[in-house]
Order: sequence, then structure tokens, then C-alpha cells
Amino acid sequence: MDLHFTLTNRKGTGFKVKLVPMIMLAFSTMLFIGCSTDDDDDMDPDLTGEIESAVTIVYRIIDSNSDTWFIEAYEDIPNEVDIATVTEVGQRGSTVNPIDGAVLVWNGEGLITKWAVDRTNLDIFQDGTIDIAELGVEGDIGTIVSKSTTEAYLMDNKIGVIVKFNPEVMEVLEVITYTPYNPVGWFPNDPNEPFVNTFQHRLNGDLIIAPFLTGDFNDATAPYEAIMFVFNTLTNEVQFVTDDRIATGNDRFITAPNGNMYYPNSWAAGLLTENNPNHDVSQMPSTSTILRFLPNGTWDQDFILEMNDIDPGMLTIWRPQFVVGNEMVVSYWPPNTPLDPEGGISLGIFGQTRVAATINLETFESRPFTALDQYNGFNIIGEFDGKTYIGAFPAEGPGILVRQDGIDIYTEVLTSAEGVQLRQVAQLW
Amino acid sequence: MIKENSSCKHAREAISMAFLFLTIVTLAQKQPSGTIEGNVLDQQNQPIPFATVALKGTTRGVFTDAKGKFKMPDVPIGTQTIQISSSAFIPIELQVNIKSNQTEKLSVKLEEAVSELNEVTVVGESEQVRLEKTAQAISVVELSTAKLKTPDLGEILARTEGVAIQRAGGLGSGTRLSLNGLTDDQVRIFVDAIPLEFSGRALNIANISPNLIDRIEVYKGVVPARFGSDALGGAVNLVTSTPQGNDLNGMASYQIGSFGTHRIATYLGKSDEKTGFFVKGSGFYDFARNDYEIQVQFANASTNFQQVEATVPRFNDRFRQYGSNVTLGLQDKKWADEISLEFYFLEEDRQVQSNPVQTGLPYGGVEVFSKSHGLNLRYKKSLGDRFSALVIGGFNRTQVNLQDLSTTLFNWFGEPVTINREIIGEISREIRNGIDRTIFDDNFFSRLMMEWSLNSRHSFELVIAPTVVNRTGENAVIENGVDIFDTDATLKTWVNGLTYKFLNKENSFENQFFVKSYFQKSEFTVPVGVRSVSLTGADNINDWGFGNVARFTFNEQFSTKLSYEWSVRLPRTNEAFGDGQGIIGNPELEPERSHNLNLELFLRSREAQRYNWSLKLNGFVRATDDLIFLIPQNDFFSTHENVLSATSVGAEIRGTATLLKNRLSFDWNSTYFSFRNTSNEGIGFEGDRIPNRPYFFANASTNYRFTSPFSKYDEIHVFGNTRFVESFFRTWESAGNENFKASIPSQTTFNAGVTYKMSNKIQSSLTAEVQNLTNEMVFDFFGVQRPGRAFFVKLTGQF
Repeated sequence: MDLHFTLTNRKGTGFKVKLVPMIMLAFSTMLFIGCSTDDDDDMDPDLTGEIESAVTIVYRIIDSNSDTWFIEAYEDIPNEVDIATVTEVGQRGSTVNPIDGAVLVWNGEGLITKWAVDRTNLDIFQDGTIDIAELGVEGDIGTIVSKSTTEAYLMDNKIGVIVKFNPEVMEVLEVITYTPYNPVGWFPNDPNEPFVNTFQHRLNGDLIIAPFLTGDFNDATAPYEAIMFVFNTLTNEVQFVTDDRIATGNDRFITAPNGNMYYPNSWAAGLLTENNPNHDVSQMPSTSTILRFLPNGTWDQDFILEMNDIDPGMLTIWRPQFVVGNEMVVSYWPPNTPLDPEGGISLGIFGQTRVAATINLETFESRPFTALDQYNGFNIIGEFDGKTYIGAFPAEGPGILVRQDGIDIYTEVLTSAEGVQLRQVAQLW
Repeated sequence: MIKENSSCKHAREAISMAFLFLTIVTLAQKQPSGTIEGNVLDQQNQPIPFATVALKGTTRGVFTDAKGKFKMPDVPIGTQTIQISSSAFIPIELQVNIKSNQTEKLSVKLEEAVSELNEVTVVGESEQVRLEKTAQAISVVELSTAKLKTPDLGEILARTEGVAIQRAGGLGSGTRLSLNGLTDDQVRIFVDAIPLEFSGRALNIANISPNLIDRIEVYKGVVPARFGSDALGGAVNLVTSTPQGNDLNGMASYQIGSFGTHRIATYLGKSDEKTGFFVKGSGFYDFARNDYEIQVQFANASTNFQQVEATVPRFNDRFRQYGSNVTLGLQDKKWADEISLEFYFLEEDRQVQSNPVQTGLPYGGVEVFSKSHGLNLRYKKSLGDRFSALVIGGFNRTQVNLQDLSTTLFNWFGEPVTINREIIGEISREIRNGIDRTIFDDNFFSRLMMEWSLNSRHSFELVIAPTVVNRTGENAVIENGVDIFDTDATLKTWVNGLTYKFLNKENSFENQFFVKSYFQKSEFTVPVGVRSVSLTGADNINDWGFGNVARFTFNEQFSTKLSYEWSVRLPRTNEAFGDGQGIIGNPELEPERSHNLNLELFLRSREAQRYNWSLKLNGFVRATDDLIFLIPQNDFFSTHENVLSATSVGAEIRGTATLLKNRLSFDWNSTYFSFRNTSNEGIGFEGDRIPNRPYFFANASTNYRFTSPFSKYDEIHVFGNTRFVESFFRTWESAGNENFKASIPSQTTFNAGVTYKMSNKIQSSLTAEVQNLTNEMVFDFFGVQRPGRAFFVKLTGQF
């Protein structure tokens, strides 16, 4: 029996295709696919059974005895949270760092645990640890920066240690030491002042950049300089890039899509506002400014946003929130902010704000930003599939995950369960 | 909250009420009674110490002193039957005619038991039985046997039904006491009805020497108003030793054992009947290196920073405490039944080995030094048989100093870790100059308690109890900067209670109804964070509660109790003002409240020579609201807030049995409760079990007594006990995949030992005991391993 069919072109010419060899070829192909290894990155995910893209959401749950961090992996942002299936990965003091295909959890006591995610079924499993407690690296050292699947960095400027490790196999590659930046007068007399640190490390090309949160928040007498920690991953060199146009700085800087970083100065002023019984920010010794730090590791000397010039109402900047195109959303405390009924302005653990504005970075013109006014506060908590996700915190009830579809367009996509905080959204692959 | 003028009005009303009450009761008339006193001798006219002298048909009873003497006051007039018994002697009963205001003197000789058939069954009721027969929801633990053995008070408490003890290590470690699910400050601790912090016995209940305690009273959810205190979940009252008779009497004990443990306790008492003068005092010294082995994970460059498991001894966990107290007093004076003044001091230093979950590097230089000293005044006066008043007052200063000044880090082998680190202290790198912080609490308390008996069936009890706590603090490592520990806060608490008691003619039904009022005023200048921001202000709390306890005795074998309290727990100093460490004060906290209900059934066998048994079943409900919850503010600081409601429903059961003519005894108990979150907003996880506390646990113990193995005065006890605690989660049970959730594993532990005891003029004993016989890895808190197998020897003498 000659099983075949004929393929013809527009001109009517054709050729005969024999079915038996075709079927055998198809089986062979299927067999080849079935026997191929998982690490064949060129293979079509549909054919390997791998899930095309995945997102992790980090949750935090607090009870009377513990403060616990959980993660869960999803193909897409879920419509609801099944808290019974999430994976407990850490306790209070932990830092959770999603990297490609896994989540690194730094327990704050010297232990990094890798929680890997199965690419076929999104199961989460422990996949190695690194314990660097004996290097003295402990406490809130900030974010782990992953440069590639085999190269990640953990930085501790308090003791001047950078740990370079391979997150794929969880192996320390190198311990880099340097002299920490502790200028005289920065750690003067208050041993309880914890805010001289670098928390938010960002990879920008081959540079890892982090701002210093500096200053004496009691009287704003800290040195008048802004400090950026710049670590070159190619040369292992550390630089501290200073700028004296700013009085005190904080770590609430943001990175724009083009790599520029925006660095505010006025948290100390804000605290002074809180301390000031009249809440008259005009008495502040410094004004709020925002500087720009360039991807090449230098301050943009031609850029300074003087809030007072833009709008006296924005004198005290709380933080820049995000940049979309040429517009930056900033949140701020207006002058004479009244005390709330609980006796003070609530800074909140997420940096909530009720007042924000949009500033055009070219014209420096501002307009009110009201798109998220229905929430008590908001904060960017991650990105997935090119979209920015914002944690929104109503005055009462659980947190809400909001997707940014435009600088003024937001869609609520997920409401967390009562008592469950939404802390982070990150693309796994 | 109310205005201050309302509080003053409230206080004035309470005082007015008290004086009105005093005026009324002084008019009361006296009910006639008499006294029995005498001595108990053997056939050779040698005194028999520790013999029981009981008033038949009642719950009254006393013990003879070392010289065989006894005294029983307030015996109703008329013909009474006295039962006298002692181990190795044949018990007897005597008829005594009691006359009003007269003392009947007896000299009793007991005949030695010549064979096992004549072996004695104690006929007098102990204080334990007497108290447990009252309407109170109470479990009583007599320590007469336990103080001969080696477990500490925490371990003894943990063997009581309804009580769970979680320990963070060995002797001196942090202890959490849980009573039917409620825990920490929700349960109040007293020593002789005085708050623990005013007692000078220890700063932590588990560290009190058992040899200085005669009895533990555990009040389940319903706390008698006479304690003059708030409590949400009940109270524990430790009753200390008191002088027996006119002669010098005392006790000394020494315990030595594993992990460098040494415990010494002494007690001396003397009273003089002629002058009415009495003096008593006790002292203690406790030391433990706590260098028991634990399993840890360590890593360094030699292991390529990969964790390797190792078994290491703890090395910075030493505990040492010592203290003393002396009481001088007069009794049986016209103007006072008793007046006494007690002085005490206590010092403790405790090294801290690790953070609360034993992660990261251990601490090699963190230490806490505590001191407490003060005085207590006690005055008691009866006006006739129907009215009595008791005034107690005290002042105490407690200071707690935390030092974290090491410039070196250590690994789990106790070796210094060489790193370039210009930071002082090990607890937190965020505090660069270390910690040398001291918190001072100046405490004042007083209590006026008056009892008025209308007749033998109706009586009233009034208590007025103000307390003031002033807290200040300092951090010595600060030279020119702002000291955020420079707290100045005052917490004034005023608790009043009025109780009406009824006892029917047949003594089969007893009822007590009580109301309590609570007032608290806080004035504070406290840090609210790490930024030297101070909060100044004042806040008032005004609340009230009530309760009722009832007991019905069907017959000697079966009785039942029903008790209820709408209880209130006021915020404590740490909650209102912070602890100067990681807890930020919240002076605006509201009280916690709870409906507490108990239903108890008690069955016991008829008194028999060969065997006896008893069974107690207690069902309970705790419906709590406004529970104070520690809410983290960031990675370093937390504050308390009223956010949680929860209900506990459970049961506890206890059984005892004595066989073979009381030579073999069994005692077992089990507790189970379902303590679940009922908050329907804010906290989430409605319906979940409240995390991180045991909810199912059981104890069993047995003792075999060999009588007169070498002489008629000695005994050998061979004993053992076991405890089981079911596994429980650290966080909400419905949160997270069970395969990865942190949980505290179930534990089953065994202890065993032998005691040789001789009861002659001096009662002495020698005990050898092994704890955690099977060397189990035991955890009460997540990640914090408790001691493994340990050996102890204890020598006790009492005269």
C-alpha cells in the first residue's frame, strides 16, 4: 500500500509525499524532544513543557510571635492569593531577592538560601545555601545584586566587604574587601542611629550603585555632601562619589528606564518637620532637592530640582516614586502638615504618602498626581512582563496590587488576604 | 478614657467606701472559738515531727514542728474530734471539748505500727486538698516532695494540668508560662500574694528555688479579688515557708549537677510566744554554666562557606543569682495580730548566648545584670471573729542593665572570628558603639484587705490596691548625644475588689460573687523610635469586671465547681513604655478583656487503706478581646497594639491513684485546648490556632515508696515521670505549605531518680536524678535547643 498525498503550488505543479516516512519522521522528532535535556535553552518552551514566563510574589505575615516571609511562583499575576500553598522562606530581618529562576533569601544573620523554582510546574524547592556569618556580614546589608545567572554580589559597607558568589551553584567566588566610608562626624555620639547605610543597590551596566543614607537626623548637622557607592564589577574597584550640593541624603532613590538615577535629600528635613511642634517647614535648615546620578557613575552637575522653585508646597520631599517617560511622580509632605490623631505623621513601613505630584523632567513644571489618591499610600514593588506593579495600601483592609498601564492609568489586579502584606513582585524568567 | 477629675472622683469613692466598710464592721460581734495546742510523742516520749493534727469533719489541719508541738487556733466551741497521724505510727482520734476563748492542751502518744497491716493512712487533709475543695478554680501543687527532688520550679509548674512552660535554655533562661492558652503578662505571678517583682525571690518564676516554696496555687482564669490585681488568664501564687512553732526551725538544701549547676537554698525561722516576736529569713545562690551540647550549623572559608553540622557546648550562657530576705515581726499583740517588715535583695547576672532563634553567630560577650531590692510591710488585725483587716505595702527598685560591648565576634566553637570590624557589640551592627543600657523601675504597691463575716454563712471581702511604677533609663555609652533610652514614665494602677461569700449550713454549697474595678493612669516622656523623637502625654483607663465561683459537694466522693470572670488585663510597663530595646512603647493601649468560664467535676474514692484514686475534669472557655499584639514596625522595632480577638475552648484532666497501701502512686494529667483567632478584621487568619504555643500536652509520674528500709524513720522513693508536648507551628497554621513551615517538634521526655529520706528530729534526704533520660533533642521555641541528658544530686535537711 502506498499511502501518500500530493502537495501542489499555485501553478498546479506538485509532488507526492509518502505518509509512512513522514509519520516515522514525526515520531523521531517527538522522541528527540522527549529525550532532550532541560537545559537546552534554545528549545521552544511549548515543546519542553517549560512554562514560558513566571512571576514571584513575596508575602509577609505578622503575628504576635513572628514576622514571616513567604514566596509563591505564578505563570501570571493571580486573581487571588491562596496563602495555604505559599512557601515560608524567612523570618523578620530577611531580605528577599528574586533572580533568574530563583529567589535568594538573606536571613540577616549571614545565611543566603536559594529557593529555586521548577520551570515546568512552578514548584519551589531549596537549592543550596551560603553562610558568610564568619565574615562579619550580618544585619540589614541591603539587596543582593545579580549580574547574571552565575554572578551575584552582596555588599556590606559597614565593614567593607563584598561577597561575589555564583547563585547557580551557591558557591562563594571571591571576597573583596575595601575601606568603608565612615567620615568623621557621621557616627558621632548617638550609638543608636542606624541610618548610615546603603540599602538599595542597583546594577547599572557593569556598575553596582547605591546611595548612602546619611546625616544626623536630630539637627541636620551632617556633612553637606551626597554620597554614591559605585562598585565596578569588572575591576573590583569601589568609589565613593560625592556631591556637595545637598545637605542630607537618603536611600529612597529611583532608577529611570534610561538608567538615570534620582536622589532626594530631604528626609531629614521631614523628620525635623515631625519634631517641630508647629510643623512649619520654612524653619528647616535645608531645602528639598533632587539630584541626578548618571549610569556612568557620576553626578549630573547640570541637573538639580529645587522643590521650592517648582512649588513651595512641595518643600519637603518624601521620595521620588517612579519615572515614566519624561515625568517623575514624587510624594511629599506639604507645609504645615497637621498631626494625625495618633500623635504624629505616620511614616509607615512602606513610606506611605497621601500627597503626590508629577514633575516634567524637562520643563520642571508640576501638576497634581491624584490617580492613586484613594489609597492611604503606595509604593512600587516590582515589574513583570514590562509592566510596573504598585503596592497600594488603603487606610483599612488588605493591600492591593495595582498595575500601571500609564502614568495616570492604574488597574487593580490583586487584593491580598487579610493580614497578608504584598511586598514584592518580580519576574522569575 | 476619662478625664483626670473623674479618676480622682473614682479614687475618693473607693476610699470612702473602704472607711464606711471599716466603720460598719467594727460594730460586728465576735463568734466564740477556742484553741488546741500540745505535742505528739512516741512511746519513748520522743517528739514526732511532721505529724498531722486534723479537725475531723472539716478541712482544717496542722503539722507538728520538729519538737512535736502543734497549735490550732479558731476551733469552734463544743466537742470536736481530733485525728492525729504520722508515718510509721498508728493514727488515733481524740474527743476534745472546746470552750470559748480557752486553750485546750493535749499531750498525745502514738503507738508505732508493728506490721505493714498497721501502716498509716494520713487522715488529715493537706492544704492542697483544702484549697482544691474551695469554690475557686484552682490547682494546687504541694512541694513537700518536689522540693526534695532536682527539677526547678519551671519544670514543676510544667507538670501541672493546664500549665505549659516554654524555656529558651537551661536554668535562668527565658521562660514563658501559659495557662489554658493565655500567656506572658496575661497571667499574673505572686509570691505570698505579693506581685513577683516585689518579692525579691527571683525575676523569673522558673528561677525561684523550690526549696523556699511550700505550695503553688494556680488560679485558672478566675482570680480572687483579694489579690488586688488585674489578670486575663489567671494567676500563680507561690506560698513560701513559714516558721513552725516557737522553736528554731529551718531548712537547707544543696544541689549539684550537670552543666556546672549549683543551687543552694536556706531558710531559718524562730518565734517567741511570750513576746510575740518572730524572725524568719531565707537565702539562695544559684549558678549554672549551661554549657550543654547543642547541634549547630557553622560555615567559614575552610568549608567554602557551606554549612556543616556540628555538636558544640554552649559557652556564653552562664546564669548566677543570689539573694536574701529577712522578716522581723510581732504577733498576737492587742494592737496587731501580726505586724512585720521584710527586707530583701536579689542580684542576677545572665549571659546571653544567641539571638532568640539561635541563628547567625553566637554572642560571646552579651550579658544582662539585674538587681532588685526593697521592703514590704504587713499589718494584720482582727476585731473579734468577724472582722479582720490586712494591710500590705512595699517599695521596690529593680534595675536591669544590658551590656553588649564586645569588640570581637565569636563562632559556635567559642573562637574569636578575626575580621576587620570597627563596630562594638554583637547584637546589632546597626548600633556601632555597643549597648550599656540600664532600665530603672521604682515600684510602689499597697493593698488594704478587709474581711467581714456576718455569720458563719455570709461574709464580705474588700480589697483596695494601688500600684505605682516609675521607669527611667539611660545608656552609658552615650557621651554627648541624645539618649533615646532616657525614658521617664509613670504608670499608676488602682484595682479594687469586693467579694460576697456564702456557705450553706451543710458546707455542701459555697458561692462567691465579686466585682473589680480597674483604673490606670500613665504619664510619659518616651522615645517613639530610633530618631530621638519623644512622645509626651498622659492617658487614663477606667474599667471594671466581675465574676462568680460556686462549688457544690454532693458527697465526699463527688463535687463540682462552676466559675466565671469577666476579666481585664491592663497594659504593662513594657507595653506602655517600651523596653528600651526593640519594643517601642504605646501609651494609648486599651486593656485586654476576656470571658473566662470553668466547669469542674471531681471524683474520688472512699478513703481506704489499700488504694485510693481521684479524678478531676475541668472544661474551660476563654473568650478574649482586644488582645495586645506585638506588631513589627520595621526590621528592628515593634510596638504593641490592641488587634486580636481569640477564643480558647479546652479541657484538662488529672488523675491520681495510690496502690499497695499508698506505697505506689500514679499521677497523670493531660491538657488540650483549641485557642483560635476570632478576629474578623485587621489581622486576618480568622479561625486559625493562635501560633507558637503548645496546645496539647500531658504528664505522667509514678513513685514507689519503700518504708523503713533501714530504720522506722526512713523511706526510699523511686520515681519517674514523663512529659509529652504536641508539635505546633510558629506562625499561623493556614499560612504556607506545611512542608516548609517552621514548627516546634513534638517532645517526649523522661526523668527518673531515687530519694532516700529520713524523718527523725531532722528530716533529711538525698536524691539522685537524671533528667531527659533518653537525651532527646528538645525544643520549646523554634531553633533553640534545650538541655539534653543531665544528672543531679540534691541534699536537703529540715528541722
